[in-house]
Amino acid sequence: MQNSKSKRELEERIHSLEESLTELKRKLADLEAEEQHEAIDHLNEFLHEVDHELDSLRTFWPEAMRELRRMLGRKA
Amino acid sequence: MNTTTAVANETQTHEQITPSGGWLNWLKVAGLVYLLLVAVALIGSGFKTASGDQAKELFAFASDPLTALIVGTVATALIQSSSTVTSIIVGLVAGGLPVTVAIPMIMGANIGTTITNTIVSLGHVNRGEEFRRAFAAATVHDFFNLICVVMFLPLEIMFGFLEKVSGFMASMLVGADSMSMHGFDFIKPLVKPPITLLETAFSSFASTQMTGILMVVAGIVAIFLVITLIGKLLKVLLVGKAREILHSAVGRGPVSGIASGTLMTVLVQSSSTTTSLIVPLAGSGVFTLRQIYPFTLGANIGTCITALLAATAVSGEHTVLALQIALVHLSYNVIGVAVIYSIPFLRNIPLKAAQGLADLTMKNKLYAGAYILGVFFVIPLLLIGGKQLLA
Repeated sequence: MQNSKSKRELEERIHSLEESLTELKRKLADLEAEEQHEAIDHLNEFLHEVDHELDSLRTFWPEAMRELRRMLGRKA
Repeated sequence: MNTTTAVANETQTHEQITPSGGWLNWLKVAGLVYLLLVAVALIGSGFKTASGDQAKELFAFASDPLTALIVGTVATALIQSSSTVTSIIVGLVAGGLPVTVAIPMIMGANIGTTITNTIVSLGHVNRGEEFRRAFAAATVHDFFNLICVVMFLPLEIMFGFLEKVSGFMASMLVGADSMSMHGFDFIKPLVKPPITLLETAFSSFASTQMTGILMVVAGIVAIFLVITLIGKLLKVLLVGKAREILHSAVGRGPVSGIASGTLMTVLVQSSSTTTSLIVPLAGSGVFTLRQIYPFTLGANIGTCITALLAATAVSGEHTVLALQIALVHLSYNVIGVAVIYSIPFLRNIPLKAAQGLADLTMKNKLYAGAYILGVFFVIPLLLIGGKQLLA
């Protein structure tokens, strides 16, 4: 009798935890979706990056050279 | 000029284009589409004039699939537009380039076009984790397209399945008495006058063969310019629509992601634009690599619209073949997405490879440069060189 009571209690707790977990997951998904919608609203700003991919190469070049010098310096 | 000022100026330019001259800009798009059709037909006629019956011999150097694949890859990586290269291929097929040679070129164009978003991701190099995410988001597209070629090129060489499938579809569409594309015949009288005009102009000072070559060159230059201009115009005109499409795809799963990527690419007529736009979104960490992956696959499908459009410009004996090569592009990309994305093991390969490469580039940024140079230029050229040496 005692066993069946504690079993029921455990089942109820599991059920309640699962419900909380589902609710938390839903809240997280809503939060993520909200962030994604906000980011999409700034799509215009990304057009600059797309139109000027050479700027990306210009940003990358000094970094690559620094890395190369570091490697060569380490070897020397 | 710093980036903020540049973005502000850019936005100003975009605003100038969008609201005021709306109908005028759409008129410009229509004019450019017409020029695209003229350019494709120009390449077809020029190639036919220049090569006579020797078209096959002219492309003998690319008759082995590996060379044709590399030609497609390197040409697209240099031009940074698969739409341009596939439209040129459609024009060349219309002029007599064998479809079997053109198929690996189309596959190569798929690989070459991925260079643009990879270059865009390099702009995030100074931003730590953001660079890792942006680079992975860019290269997942590369790895998917590389796997597609590894899987489907040998199958194509052995069984010619894409050639058969597209041939069947093309004959259904253009075929004699079946449901036909004869409706598109109205395009021929529209594109014919400028071609005749240019042919007459060129032949007034050049030999027949040189006239053909000049027509091909003019067609290639025109396609490049037209597609660049269309891309710029549509990007600005439809950025709002693209935003709507992206908003509607949020939280809806991979199929919706693929459909949105397809639709957005059809609208902006450039897979590079679509895949590059999502690099910063992934870089910011707001979208995960797994979430943007289907979207890039949709871009592969959406970009096929340009070749299909280009094929409508072709008339004469090679109409079916021009449509066939455009359908090869479409069926290759649709089958590729359907097969690779539906099998979990295959689906995860590009994700793992992109993440692995991004981890490596975080340790040493030179890996990123070596990867771009290696995949798009050095390895292809070494393969061609090695083949020549062996021959």
